[in-house]
Amino acid sequence: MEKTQKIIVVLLIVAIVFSVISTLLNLSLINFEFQPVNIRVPGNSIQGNPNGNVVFTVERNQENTG
Amino acid sequence: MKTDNMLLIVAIIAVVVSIVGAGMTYSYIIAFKSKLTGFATGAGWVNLTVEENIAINFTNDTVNWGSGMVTPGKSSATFNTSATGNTNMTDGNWTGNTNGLNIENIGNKNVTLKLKSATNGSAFIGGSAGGGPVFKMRVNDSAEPHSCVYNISNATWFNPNQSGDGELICDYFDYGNGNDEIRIDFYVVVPSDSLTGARGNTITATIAAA
Repeated sequence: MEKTQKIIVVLLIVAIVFSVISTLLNLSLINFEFQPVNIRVPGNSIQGNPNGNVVFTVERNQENTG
Repeated sequence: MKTDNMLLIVAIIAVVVSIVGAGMTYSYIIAFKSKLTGFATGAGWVNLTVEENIAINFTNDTVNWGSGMVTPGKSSATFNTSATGNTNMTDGNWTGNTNGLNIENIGNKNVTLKLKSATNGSAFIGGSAGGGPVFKMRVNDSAEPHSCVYNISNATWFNPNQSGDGELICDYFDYGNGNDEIRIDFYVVVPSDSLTGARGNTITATIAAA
């Protein structure tokens, strides 16, 4: 085999190797699909005040006014 | 000749594999074309979930009549936050108060509403003169109509419950903006022989998804 022919063979082998790699990569995508994703609004943590107050002060009653 | 044949075979294999690879790549790119975002179409959709939240808030959380006493010679004084003018405060020198407690549904779901009082009239006010102490309340949604589907009449003064979660007020307390608030008014009678000093009572609201 001449030197030139040997170079051609090497180049062709390199081409085959890369082609095989490309083919394998494509095959790996056979089952690839975009999955729909639900967007969730984070639960609000708003918490209100559950208590109300009724207040007044009795300064004195009529039993102790004297 | 033998060398030439070998080169030919290797070249053919290379061409075949390359063609297969190129074909598959083309096929998958076509398939992706309909899935990639950013491709303008006439319609689109967005899927989202809004979590439910139930919450209420006392937007006005205090009714305070200040300091005072029963008018000497009278058996009792009466406070009525729903009344205006002379009947708002009778026979006492406390500061009149026309503000009730306000509760707003600040969540995003209709709820049931119960109200509980920490103490009753006897423990809160004490005394026995003039028929004894009275501590009653009444609810209405006049400020934001249709906020509440009442379980108890909005025209009725009732003695607040101290057990459990208290009295069921609204079977259905709306969350919609503009119809999500109720008001609680108070009718209080302070006998002339009541307990003295600072008197306080707490109203607690409890809700559940309706």
